[in-house]
Amino acid sequence: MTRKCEYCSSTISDSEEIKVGNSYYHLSCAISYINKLKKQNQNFLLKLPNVIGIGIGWRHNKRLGFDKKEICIVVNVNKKVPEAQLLSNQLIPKWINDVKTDVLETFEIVAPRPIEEAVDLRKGRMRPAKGGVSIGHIKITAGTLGCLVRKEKESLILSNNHVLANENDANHEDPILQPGPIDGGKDPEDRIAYLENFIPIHFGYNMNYVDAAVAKPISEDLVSNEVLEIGKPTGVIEPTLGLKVIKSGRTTGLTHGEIVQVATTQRVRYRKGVALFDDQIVIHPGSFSKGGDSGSAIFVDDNTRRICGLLFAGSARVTVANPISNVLNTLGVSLP
Amino acid sequence: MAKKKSTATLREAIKVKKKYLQQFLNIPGVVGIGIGGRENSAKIVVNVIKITDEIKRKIPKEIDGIPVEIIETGVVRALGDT
Repeated sequence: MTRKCEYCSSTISDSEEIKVGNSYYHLSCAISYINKLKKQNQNFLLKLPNVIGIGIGWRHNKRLGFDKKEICIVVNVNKKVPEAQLLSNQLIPKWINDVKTDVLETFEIVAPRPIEEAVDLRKGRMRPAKGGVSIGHIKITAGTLGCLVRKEKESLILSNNHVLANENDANHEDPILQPGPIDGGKDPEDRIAYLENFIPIHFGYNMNYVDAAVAKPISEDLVSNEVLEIGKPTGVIEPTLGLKVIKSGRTTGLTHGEIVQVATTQRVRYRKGVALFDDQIVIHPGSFSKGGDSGSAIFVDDNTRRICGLLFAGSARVTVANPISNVLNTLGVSLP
Repeated sequence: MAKKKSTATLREAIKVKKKYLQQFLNIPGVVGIGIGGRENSAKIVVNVIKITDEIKRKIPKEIDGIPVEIIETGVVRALGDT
């Protein structure tokens, strides 16, 4: 049997027909019709207790789930309440004209934490720049500005060799950009520092201990001693098994982890090849860091803001870091 | 089989790790050797790209009295943005 659409009066085939209340429509006609009714009634519906949204949707059937043959007005509530607890004028009507209503318990709908915004802050230009933001040598993509360190009376930016010195392929006083090139950092507008010193990485069988470099800010007021979301470092702490740690990095922001290995000898893959590192610390879980977090300072998670490591490598399962004392000693610097 | 809790100290485990380091690193698929557990209940941890039957056969469960654990870390990379 072929029916006529209640809205446009033309015929509907069986496969197209959509039920609304006790009548039949084309899908687009049904939506146009319900939308008109919804607009007339939504202010009234939104004033009812617990109602947080009104929409048009497939009718929900306890047994069958969403019935894709029938549409209705859907009233989203943050909590379903038994009718007996409501006054008669607080009830959601079962029908609006000839359209049925469904009540859907969606619970409270909140805006998700503005992760994107926070991450963008870290990938953007910041002056004075804090630890935890994007930085990089002009020829790399981006890593993280770890924190400031002191050499005699100078403040220097601490990060990895592969962030500030392009895996050894760099010269003294090469420009360092904040943000790093992949985050839009341009030379010379976003220059923040010049490469001061780096510890060369030996590829192959020679042992390495740190992936570290320092850069000298163009002026002291371009950088801050603070690390984003953590604060000013107060000193160092020896990394020990079971120590709970946090870091603030360009890609994953503030994350929490635990030291699960110390004294680790680890092979690490770089663009240029594989390098072997000794006396490393390994942190769980894998989500502690991702690409771009290299150079982050790792702090003990006890609000004392003491640094235990310099993050430089990882996989989906672990993060690997240099103990901070090795980094400071090798570079001949100290925490301010 | 219940796992015996290690009574090795960190120092003892590091000593044994140093002794066997090169042998472990020569096993294909091994990417790292470290010390896990706790300061007074330490074990040797072998980081591998993938846990395979061959890896399990080649790495002892205990060495010089120190328990050995195999961890699948995958390939560890420098974390510049890629």
